Amino acid sequence: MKDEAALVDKALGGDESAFEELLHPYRKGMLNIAYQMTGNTEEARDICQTAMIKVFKHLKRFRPGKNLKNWLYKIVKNVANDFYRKKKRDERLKEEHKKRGVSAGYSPEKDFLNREIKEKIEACLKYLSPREKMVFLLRDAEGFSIKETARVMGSSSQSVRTHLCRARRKLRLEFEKIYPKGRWSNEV
Amino acid sequence: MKCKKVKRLLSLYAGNDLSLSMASAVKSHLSSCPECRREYKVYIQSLQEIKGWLKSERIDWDEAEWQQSVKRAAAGKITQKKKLAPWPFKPAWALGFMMVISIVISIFWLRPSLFRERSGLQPDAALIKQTSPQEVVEMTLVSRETGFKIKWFLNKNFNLEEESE
Ligand SMILES: [Zn+2]
Repeated sequence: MKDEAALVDKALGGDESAFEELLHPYRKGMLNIAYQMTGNTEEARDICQTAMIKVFKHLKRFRPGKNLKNWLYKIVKNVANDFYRKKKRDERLKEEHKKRGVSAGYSPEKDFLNREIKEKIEACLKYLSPREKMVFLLRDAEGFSIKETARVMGSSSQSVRTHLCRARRKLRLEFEKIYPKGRWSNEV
Repeated sequence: MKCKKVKRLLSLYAGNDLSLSMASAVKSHLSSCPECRREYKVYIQSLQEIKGWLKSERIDWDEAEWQQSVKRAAAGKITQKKKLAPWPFKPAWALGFMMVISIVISIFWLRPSLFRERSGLQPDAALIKQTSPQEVVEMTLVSRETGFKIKWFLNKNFNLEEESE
């Protein structure tokens, strides 16, 4: 990894390519966290765009020696939360419109790589709270350590373990609904 | 360790998220308890499968789109910590301060008899008439934040006559 501090300095001086280099190692991770939080590629890109604007805007605040990766994911997490809240609000509005007989102009979700897998993921993640989902995605999909996850979440390792425990239990229960118990009872 | 406690720890054990001592306690329980062992297997299996699904659903940036996003972000302004000026030099404070001063000055300029009344001298009706031809003084205070307006009408004896919004 190149010297982050030097890249930060360059980016602050207006060097766009230095800013790109700074974010490059995390671009896919950021995008996928946002994607699984929302289930929508378009929204995932919007979340990343907003997060990147914030990162650049507050780059001055970033002190060398601090962990860029954790800081970056923390911003993505916060932006994703804002999106989630806004979406909930919009959905409530849509519901109200529906009740009043106004058509909402809803277009079905089309962006998925594999419909079957996407549906399975959605079925499993459905009952997780945003916090449980985020902790699970950071730890199990992105491979963050418990400590790193705690830093991103702005909470203690104990709280991360509690949320992770709940998330995995819920996931296991949903998984068991998708696959009847017999499927693997003789395996492993 | 009892089954109840082990079951609570299984999801963390399945993801290697327990301390060494806890993990070995769970491990030794599992070797002797088929019921917990079964549940542990379900955890391992579900975790593995779901991780696999997430991996296969992983998306990536279109290169041009990524570059554009970086460009847009880098075009934003960088916030720098603003140095706060001491209060009389903050424009809002200075304006407010000047407004108050000018109101005070205008009051005394329009009603010089006030000095005399205050100092115990009997007001000379003729003099008042002469020095201030106005019978009523109108004062308007405007809040800079809310735009709320207060008008004061004061008669020549500096008594409030009417108040309006
Ligand atoms: Zn047991």
